[in-house]
Amino acid sequence: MDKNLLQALKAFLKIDQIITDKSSIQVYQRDGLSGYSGIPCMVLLPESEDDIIKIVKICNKNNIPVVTRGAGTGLSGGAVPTEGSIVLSTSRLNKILKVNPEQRTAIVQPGVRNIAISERAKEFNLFYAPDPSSQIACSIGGNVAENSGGVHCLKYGLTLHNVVNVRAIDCEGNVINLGLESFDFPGFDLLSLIVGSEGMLAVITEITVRLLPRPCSAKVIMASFNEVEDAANAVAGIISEGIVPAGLEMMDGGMVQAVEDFVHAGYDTEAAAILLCESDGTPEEVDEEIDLMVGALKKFGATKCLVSADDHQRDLFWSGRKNAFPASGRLSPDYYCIDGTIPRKKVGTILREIERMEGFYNLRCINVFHAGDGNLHPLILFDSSKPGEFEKTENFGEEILDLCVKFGGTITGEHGVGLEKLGSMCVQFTEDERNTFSAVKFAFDENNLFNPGKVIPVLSRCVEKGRKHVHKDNREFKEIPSF
Amino acid sequence: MANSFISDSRQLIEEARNQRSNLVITGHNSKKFYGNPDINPHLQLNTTTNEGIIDYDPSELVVRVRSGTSIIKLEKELVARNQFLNFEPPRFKTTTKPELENRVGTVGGMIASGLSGPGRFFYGGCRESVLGLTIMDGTGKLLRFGGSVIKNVAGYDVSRLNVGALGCLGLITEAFLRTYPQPVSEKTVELAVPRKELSEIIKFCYMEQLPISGSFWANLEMEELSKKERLYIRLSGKEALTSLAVKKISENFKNYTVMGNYAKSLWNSIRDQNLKFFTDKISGNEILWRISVPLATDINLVLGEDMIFEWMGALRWVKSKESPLLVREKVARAGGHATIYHASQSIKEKYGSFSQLGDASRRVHLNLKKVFDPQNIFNKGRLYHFM
Repeated sequence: MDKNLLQALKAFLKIDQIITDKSSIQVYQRDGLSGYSGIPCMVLLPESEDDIIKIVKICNKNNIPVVTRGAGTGLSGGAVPTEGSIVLSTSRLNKILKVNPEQRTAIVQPGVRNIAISERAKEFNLFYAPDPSSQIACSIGGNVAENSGGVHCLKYGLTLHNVVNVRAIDCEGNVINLGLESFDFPGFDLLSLIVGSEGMLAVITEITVRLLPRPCSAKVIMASFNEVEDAANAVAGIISEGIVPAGLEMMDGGMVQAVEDFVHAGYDTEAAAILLCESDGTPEEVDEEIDLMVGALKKFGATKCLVSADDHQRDLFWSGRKNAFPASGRLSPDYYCIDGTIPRKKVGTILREIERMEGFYNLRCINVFHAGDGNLHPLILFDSSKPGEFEKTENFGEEILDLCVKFGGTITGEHGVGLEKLGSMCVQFTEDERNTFSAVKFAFDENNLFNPGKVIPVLSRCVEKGRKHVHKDNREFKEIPSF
Repeated sequence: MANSFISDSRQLIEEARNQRSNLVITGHNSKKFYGNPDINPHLQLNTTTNEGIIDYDPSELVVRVRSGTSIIKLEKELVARNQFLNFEPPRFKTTTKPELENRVGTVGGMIASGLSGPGRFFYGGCRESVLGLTIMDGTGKLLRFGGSVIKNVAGYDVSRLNVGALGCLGLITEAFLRTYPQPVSEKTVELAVPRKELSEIIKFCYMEQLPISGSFWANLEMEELSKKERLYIRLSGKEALTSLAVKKISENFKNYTVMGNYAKSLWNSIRDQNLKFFTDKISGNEILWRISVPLATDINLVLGEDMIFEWMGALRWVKSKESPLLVREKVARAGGHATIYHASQSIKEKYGSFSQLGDASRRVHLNLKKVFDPQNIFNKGRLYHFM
């Protein structure tokens, strides 16, 4: 530990804002992706933007990488510290600074929990729409870093569509504003760059989010299908009928059986696949849309459509979907979750391919989808204690992601690249495109100060792979619903 | 045809680099007025041979289209499938010749300008609808970012970086655009609202959470399309929703009218700015400002002889002779920015079309320009004089 460094930090940080002892540092060595970890030289807990400016200037001067961390719930290793780096935790920057109902905005610090924004905005009949599965714990700063989605992003957009301004500190310790509180802003769209930049361009100190009118009513349909292909066609069919559901999720028969055994939500275990299709808005609007949705679902082969009678039943219908991960953990000692997006029309095809791969790899794979936007989460079930099974699982997962790219999709719909998908970046992007990403990074951060080694693979890392491996359902943040 | 466009463009870029010349990218030239004047002399790269819809699947809510395609041609295909571009890109007339009536803007120009119409407030802007772009950079490399899917967080969002960049970061060759189902029901209501009551009425409308997809108010009459000091509100959504909204309006206002079919002409004219307010020549020290401010900003922030308010007051068009520095200062303090939309060349050259950037942002702009256009050949100075 560099004593000069520590002294410089102690000049403006309190004792409890600096963590250097090994046991306390442990929790900061990894994020929500088990299997990857790194040892930082220390963890800092700034309490103000001024603290952050001073930290960045010191780190820049001394060439110490800075790895910004929100709640540490990320699923791709984006917050895993590199050796000798400083973890900058935003957990103490947790204030909602202002809610402006007339402007329909809220100004928040990066450590504020996602759900806390909607809780605060509720009194004005407004809400913050992006709802990633971990929203009770994840931070809005982390959401901006990953461009987080959630069940309702088909209708309400991703984080990108719901953030109007980001205030951040660049590598030289200067304040940079990206965006404005108006509906547009002059110059290049730097806001679009920082959203989803995985902590690599600047350290975010303040975010202005857009708030939307809170829907006063919502109903969900649970639709059963005899064939997976029918359910997949129904997804495309609903959209082509001009309906944009508030949520549209799919589970195959294997997943349905797993969750029903776990939560007893009344899922149709005879079905080859089920869809959960939600409508929200005014009661009149919801009734009108539910009728349209039921009509469309039946037209595309739904054998049964159950509409939630009240909020309790709605929550019950959703509980199965939300418990897909822990339910899977009961089936197998280990599972791997893949995150990729494909065009909706390819859902049926990829499920058939995954079925073929199950036979080839002799591994079971059960599937949940954010079907409305083609974002899939295949869960490969395996036993790491069996020799060679982990490697087979990796290959299985890699083949799925390769298919996603081949079908015109992407290797990551919402979890980010982080460390986990460095190898797959070489599949999705050409060398010129990857070089452009590097150059964009250096346009902001010429000293490679912020979160080095993530997202953009260097040549050697083109052969690295990684997936989210869960052993005996020993997940990080088990209490948080996972999609 | 598309292949020769790629190789021809590459050749022209090479020529511009060798000559260290400005290379101006044009489509229909419908937005030539927008931004700073082109620097002369310059070579020109025209995109109109790069034309056509490559793939369109309404069930995927995405269309893949070449950059030289006319906006009108694209929208015709979407409307046939009951979809549309919900940010309502403007189509600016470039000629009176009927055989050239489709020359009102290309897809590339639409993205490069990033301009959106009345629906922006409700649905989102151009950038929200751009899912992916293929661009040719200043060295002739073809690069694709984004794609056909909405949820895509692999790498940085370079495609959206190009929206509104006025072609300064590269030549857009192809775009993946998000399409949207046309609303089931649309109703336009006209309310008599003097300027001093405008704030209150706007506040009422959005506090009531009415489904307002378009709003328009002017302090002067517009060519038999709209009356002076009338607030026009377009309600969009399910039938139940728009009917309920009209009911709420009827319960709170005595003087209101539900407009008939000609409301469509009104909204198209607002979108395309073919009103005299926009087409009359601006001269001397008068400026037509495009002022973008947060919702609920004081209506009296910047006043002018002639004014239009859109986006529930968040977008204002003001004709004013007030000092440009003062206007920009007032707007910046309110949290917005002010664009010199139409003015004399000398005014644009002196003050720049767009509000100035902070130092840190300016540094990043210069660095990004070097990444994509190392020899600064694309649309030199069009966005900012320092580029």
